[in-house]
Amino acid sequence: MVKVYERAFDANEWFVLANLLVSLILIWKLPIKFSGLETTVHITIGIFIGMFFDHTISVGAWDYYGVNDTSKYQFIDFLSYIMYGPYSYFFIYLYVKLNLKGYMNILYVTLWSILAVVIEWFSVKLGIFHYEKGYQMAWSFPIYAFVQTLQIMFYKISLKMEKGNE
Amino acid sequence: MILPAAIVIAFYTLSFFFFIEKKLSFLQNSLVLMLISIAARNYTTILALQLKWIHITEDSILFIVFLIHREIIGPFLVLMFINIYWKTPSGVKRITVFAIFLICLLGMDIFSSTSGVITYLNWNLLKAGIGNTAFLIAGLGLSKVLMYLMQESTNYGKGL
Repeated sequence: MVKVYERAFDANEWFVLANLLVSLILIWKLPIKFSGLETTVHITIGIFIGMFFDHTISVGAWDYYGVNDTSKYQFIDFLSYIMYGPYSYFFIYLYVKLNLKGYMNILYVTLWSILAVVIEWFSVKLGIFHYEKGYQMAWSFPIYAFVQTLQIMFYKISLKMEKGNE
Repeated sequence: MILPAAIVIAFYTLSFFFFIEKKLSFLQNSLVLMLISIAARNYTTILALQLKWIHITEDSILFIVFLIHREIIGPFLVLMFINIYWKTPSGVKRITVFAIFLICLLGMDIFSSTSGVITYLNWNLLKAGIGNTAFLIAGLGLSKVLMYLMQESTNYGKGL
């Protein structure tokens, strides 16, 4: 059965569109650090991971939350997954810029995970996410910390692998 | 038995992928894998939630099998196909490679449908075969575009 949370084109849709627009402009304006392929990969990682969770724990057997206006898959849902992409790019861009080592990695991941939870809190208030089956925001923090750590690991491995190809 | 079988298939798929000689670089393979996975998720979600042509299991254990199929076995089979295809010199051998991987993907579809992971409502193996063919061809096209992209000079990993 299709769940309808609301039908209006309002805060959640505007938040997704404005977020995408501002972040894409910011990517465009930032000094170029990566090649086209590297930039595409680090933007795609965010979409890849965000979409994995939204197409896994918000559908089928584990339907822990709904996205946007209805439980059906809408175009604005797709755009809200694209929205994750620029964040993963900023995450790795700043990581490279700050040239973090050792324990600073933990602090960096913690700060980004807090930021992600704050953005998620706004998203819940604006009606992008609708928690179900007792899902709580507390679960999101470890998920963010885990996937951000994975992204740093991916970055480190990709450095070694690409240098090995040269 | 179904979950262990899926894990074993995933293990062998990943193992073979790890050892094959790859045409694409690590980043190119990563990008193709992510884009194929994104396409596969949208494909299954649209078929199940929008069109209602298939039904995905509500059973938690079988749902893990579905995820292993969607996230690991399917995308890595496509990625393996792409790398082997571009390493294969002649046309006849390339067609054989294509046929082998199409059969593997269809085999996984048969595995999922016979084990109750996916129930076909308005769907059949012929349509699944067309979908799998589209994934293999899309993967090839994507890899071709990526191979043409020049590796620009970069300061990757050196700090700003």
